[in-house]
Amino acid sequence: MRPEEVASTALQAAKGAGADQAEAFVVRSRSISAYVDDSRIKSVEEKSDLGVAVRVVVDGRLGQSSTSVSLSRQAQLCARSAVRTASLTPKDKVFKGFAWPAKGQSRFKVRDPEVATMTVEGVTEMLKDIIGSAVEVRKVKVPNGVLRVADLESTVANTNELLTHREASMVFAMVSAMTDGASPGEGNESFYSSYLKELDPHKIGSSARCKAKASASAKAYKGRAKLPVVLPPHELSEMLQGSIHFALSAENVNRKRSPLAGKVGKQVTARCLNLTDDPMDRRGMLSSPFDDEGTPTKRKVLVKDGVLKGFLYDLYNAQLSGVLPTGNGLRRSTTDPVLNYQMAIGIGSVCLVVRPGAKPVEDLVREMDHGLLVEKTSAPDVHPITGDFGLEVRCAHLVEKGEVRSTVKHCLLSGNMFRAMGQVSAIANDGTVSRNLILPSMRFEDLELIGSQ
Amino acid sequence: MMQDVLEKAIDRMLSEKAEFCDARFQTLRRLNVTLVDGAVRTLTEETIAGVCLRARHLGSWGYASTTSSEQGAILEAASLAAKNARLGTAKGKRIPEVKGQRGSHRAKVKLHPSKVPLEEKLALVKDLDGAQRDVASVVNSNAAYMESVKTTMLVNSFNQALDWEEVRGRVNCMSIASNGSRTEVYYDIVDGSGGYEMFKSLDTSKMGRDCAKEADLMLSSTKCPSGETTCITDPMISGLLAHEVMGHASEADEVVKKRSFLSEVVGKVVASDLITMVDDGTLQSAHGYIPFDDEGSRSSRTVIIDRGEYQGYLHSLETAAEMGVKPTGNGRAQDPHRRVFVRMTNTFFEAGDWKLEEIIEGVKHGVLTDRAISGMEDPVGGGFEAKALRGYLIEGGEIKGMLRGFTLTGKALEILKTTDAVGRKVVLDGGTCGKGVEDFLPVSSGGPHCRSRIILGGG
Repeated sequence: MRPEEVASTALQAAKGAGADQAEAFVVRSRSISAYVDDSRIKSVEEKSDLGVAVRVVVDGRLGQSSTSVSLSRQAQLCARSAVRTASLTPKDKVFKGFAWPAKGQSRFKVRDPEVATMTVEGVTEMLKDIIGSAVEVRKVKVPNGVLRVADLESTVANTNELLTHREASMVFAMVSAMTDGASPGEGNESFYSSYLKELDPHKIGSSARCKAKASASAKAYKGRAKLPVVLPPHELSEMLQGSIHFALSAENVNRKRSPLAGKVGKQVTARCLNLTDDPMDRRGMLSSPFDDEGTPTKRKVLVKDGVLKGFLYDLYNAQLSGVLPTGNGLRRSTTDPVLNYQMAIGIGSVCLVVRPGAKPVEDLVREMDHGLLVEKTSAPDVHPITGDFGLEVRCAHLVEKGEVRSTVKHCLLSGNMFRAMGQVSAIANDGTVSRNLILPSMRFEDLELIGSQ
Repeated sequence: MMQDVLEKAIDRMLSEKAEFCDARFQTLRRLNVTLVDGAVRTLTEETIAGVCLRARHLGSWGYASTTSSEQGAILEAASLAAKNARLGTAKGKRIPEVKGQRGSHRAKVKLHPSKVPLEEKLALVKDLDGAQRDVASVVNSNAAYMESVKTTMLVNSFNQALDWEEVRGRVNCMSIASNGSRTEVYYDIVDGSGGYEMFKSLDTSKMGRDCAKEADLMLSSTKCPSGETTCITDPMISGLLAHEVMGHASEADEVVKKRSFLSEVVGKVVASDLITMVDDGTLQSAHGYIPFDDEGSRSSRTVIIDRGEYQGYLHSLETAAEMGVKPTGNGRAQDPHRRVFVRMTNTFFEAGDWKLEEIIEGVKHGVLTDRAISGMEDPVGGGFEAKALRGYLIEGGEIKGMLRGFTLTGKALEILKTTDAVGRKVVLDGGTCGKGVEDFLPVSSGGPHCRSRIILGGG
């Protein structure tokens, strides 16, 4: 079944069951993944998935349901389930209705035909190339890794006669390399894109190998220090996701959970920081002219020269705040297309771009008299409400007078992300796609490094 | 009949050179109810149904999955799985044939959630949300109910044909309190395997009100002292040490490729003799309970550390064959679209004989943790990282004041060798576990209060 047919079937069933308004979100995907285990191709898989999420309004009450779809009957049952759940909820005082059709249909899409026609053999060969670039016989191996390509299409249709269609592709790789020996080091590399031609197996494999070797040379850090710290894009992207990205969501503003609530027009970060959500950036894996409620997306300046300019809205929170939605109601993943219809609508940036600086990251390091260049932490998460973080360092380089002097691990990097964003002293020019962000390395002043006594 | 189709799929994969294969039809039905600030934000029913075909060839696996229930599509997927297996380059020992089990197993629940009206569940969540608003500093209240019913029908080339049901539930609340200049969050969760009976006697008003009061108290918490200190980990943080570091490194798929710092330690002392650690998938009320794993092996209790001495690993069919031992029922998959590999179930430290007051009395200067936010595995380096929601400062054997969230770190084996007191009461904390960046499964982790030397910081 085509997504449009599933959506149409669901909408008809919802109306037939008594819905005043209804919306159907359908995703169909085909994905191929190959997994590495101990430097060999361990598993090869192909998945096909089709599913629908239905939201309805019945007498001012909201209901929703989702299901995987094999036959049209499942879409009908899903619509009836949504109507049944609506009948049990109280009237919603906020929601006024689903999106209306926009004038003019943009043809912008981020879909790579090469991904759509990719074979399992092709994916397997590319993964072998990554492994080959990472492995050094009896020195470095690849214990884990995955290469996934996916072709997907999604449709949003509603009873306002809105019909939008998104076609997209996904290329995702994550590999770890590990040194041999009694005290091994491990290095990871990941890759996110919509285009197969951007995947450089050699670059991914050799980068993971170099990181593993650096990690193997790391020694436990002793003592404590306050110092400037350079954080790389893949670590920083999760830290920004867990702090400013969370705080820019209108849901969190409306629920008084955002530390940025009430600060539009005020200085919230260092002046060198500029953040824009740009849904038309072709590098963005989620880029598209519509969000997953059918609202047109648009370029939004969120932080300009450190000043907060606005927030991200889905339909519900826009209606709650009395503003227009910004096209940020999403049900999308940058790593896996399967079961996306099960996701609840959530506010997210389509493609959050941090404006890069002019210098290479090497200059940011050279400028430090005494500092730290981080390669990897265990999990770079930040408390989204307070902004506090304490990250276990797995591999970082101590810098003295602009030169790397030693490599450390088993220590905590501690600080507060909202305060740290006010103390950004330099931004590099190495803009990198990491999930739904495009961001460079950045240097933060006065973070704390804590080791054993 | 789906079983007939799955058996035809097995025949198809065997005819296409699979040395072992299975076919897994799974359905997952979930109900989510969420209230935010007194209003219903989500009331949704979710259903997944799909078939996963898996074939093994010379140590490599081929997978294919589909949402289609039509015989033609399933047999086509079976051919793809067999073909994909032949693309692999991994080598491995042949999986020895196990005696085929056959049968049907329903979940042992007193009150199946499908028999409870939705109105009753909605009323529970409303009560839990509303009670939080009694505390003036609470600016945002959240309450949720979730139930899931998962069914699996598994057929394999060892003539095994099983179907079973897993039923789980969760009630949770989260209060956000603010005094204008500071914002803090506190949460509480009740979850497990079982039917709606686990919530029938739950005092949701008290649970919601207590959650809000704790969030309010946290507004006056202070920064945690940083550096290496004596730390009493509460059951949740003890559980993260058990699960994230010792547990993940005991998964035999990491061990066979020597990606685990525990690869060569069977029979060696790895912890204080007060430490005994198990993974037990047979605990029927725990969130990680499974009657069978996703390969059809019965769940079991595996002693990983016995009084400080390391005993053994957690196994799937494949890793058991590789290491020449019996499978432990730890081959698990998230859903019909995901791979099977070695995963934990309910992982925890066993009880000691100390009262909590006695553990605290012996601390001149230290910290007691209270609840977890998250933790991260490090099977290669054995590094421990856990984020505590909050804690208490201990001075002169007495609790002095509340500390805001902080991070714990250090090398797990060094921490466990310093453990000098283990509490009497084990508490399990349910949740989901990912391995790498995906494949999330229901598990639990826990233990008693444990006193050790740990590095603290952050907050």
